[in-house]
Amino acid sequence: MPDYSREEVLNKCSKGESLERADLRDVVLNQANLENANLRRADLEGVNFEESNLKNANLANANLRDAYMAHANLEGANLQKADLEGAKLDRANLQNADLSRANLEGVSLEGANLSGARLNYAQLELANLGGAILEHVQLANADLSDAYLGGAKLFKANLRDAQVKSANFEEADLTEADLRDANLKGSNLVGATMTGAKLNGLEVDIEQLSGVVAEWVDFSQAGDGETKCPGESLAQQYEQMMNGSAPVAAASSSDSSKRFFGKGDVLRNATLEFGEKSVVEIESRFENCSIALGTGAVLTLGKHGVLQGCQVVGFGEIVIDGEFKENGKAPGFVGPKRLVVGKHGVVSGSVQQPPESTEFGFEKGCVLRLKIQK
Amino acid sequence: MSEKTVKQTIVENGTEFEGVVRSQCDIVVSGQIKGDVTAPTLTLKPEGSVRGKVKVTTLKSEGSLGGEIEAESVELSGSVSDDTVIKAASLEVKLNQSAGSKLRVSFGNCDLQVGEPTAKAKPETHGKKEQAGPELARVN
Repeated sequence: MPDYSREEVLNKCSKGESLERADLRDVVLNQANLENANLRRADLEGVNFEESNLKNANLANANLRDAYMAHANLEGANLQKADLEGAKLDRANLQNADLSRANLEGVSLEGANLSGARLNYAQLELANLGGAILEHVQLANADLSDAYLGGAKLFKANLRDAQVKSANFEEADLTEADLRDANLKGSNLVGATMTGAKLNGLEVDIEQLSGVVAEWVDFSQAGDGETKCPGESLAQQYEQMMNGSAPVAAASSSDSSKRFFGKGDVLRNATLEFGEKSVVEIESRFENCSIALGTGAVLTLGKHGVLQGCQVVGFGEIVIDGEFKENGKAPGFVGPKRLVVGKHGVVSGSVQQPPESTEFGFEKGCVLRLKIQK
Repeated sequence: MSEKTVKQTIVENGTEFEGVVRSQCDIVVSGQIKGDVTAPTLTLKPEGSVRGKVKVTTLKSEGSLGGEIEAESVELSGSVSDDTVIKAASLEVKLNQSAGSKLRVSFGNCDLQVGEPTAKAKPETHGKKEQAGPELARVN
């Protein structure tokens, strides 16, 4: 037997009286006005709240397992640590609600509005969020494994450190979403829009990115847009990030530090100096050239790039996916901050490390005849 | 149901070994070895150290490594001391992802001879399998 009838519940709510810890199982509360109600720790398992007004209600730690809350108004409600496993919240209004650490496993939120809601550390495994509005939602550290987010609107959503394995984001809008350090392995990203999304540390398989739509993405660690990369080469940029090298920034009118040397060009006996934080990409053939890199500069020798008899000097980052053959000035690399040789890279030469030592990265498959000097 | 246990030779932390080790079991080193090591797999724990001639199929080092190393597959972190030569068919050194973190591996003066430089140009040799380690190439 529940502690109160529907009439008693409504009466107490209208007077502002607390229903904390009340057992209200089996009470029908659809289309009820429960605005500002205190239902903290109440037992509401399986209760019908269809089209009810629960605006700003306190439902923290409440048991709402299998509750029916379709079209309910839960705007600004406190649902911290509430148990909503299996609940139906289709087209509910949860704007600015607090669902931190709530259990939402298997919940149905199809078409629900969760704009500005807080769902940090929430459990959303197998949840149905198809077409839901999740703009500016806080999902940091949440678990969305196997969840369905097809067509969901996640503009500026915060998914940092979230576990989103094997979820479905088909046609979802992740514009400017923060996905840093999130794990999206096995998720379907076909047709997902990620323009301006923050992707540093994101865990996905390269092939997952092939279906992503993005004009540009942000690989910067701080998520401040410092490393904007063009969307058309997203997979390549992502691979570079995972290899530890800085992705190549997108060209823009303000980006005067980028240099690109295309395939087929040959440069001989030249001296080149690139300033601090320059981004240099070489797909050409350089012979007997001297290259000076300013601090923080990144030189990427692409798959087609060849540096023959060249010397690269300076505290910059060097990524070799092409071929570097010293047979000229030695050592071929002088004082690099970082030297990464990709799986297609071939390096024959020597490295003179700076006093603080070079950071090395070698991918399986690379070919090295490398003498390292301290 | 019989449980299959993988036999390992373990050199524990605090143990120092000098001489020649030839093992058909995998070797795990948390202590120190000075001398020659031959085994299918050698694993160096962060506190482990090996100096000498090492000939193994797989080497995974998180500790301190020095000498003449010959392996098919090498995964390195930790440190590589001066006068070390590593000959391997494949080498992997991962970078630290987090900013400001320590080096994953520090190299002294050493030579890395990894992979087959002429593999792309050469036709595949059938029926003749090379020993572990690539042919040497002179590095200036």
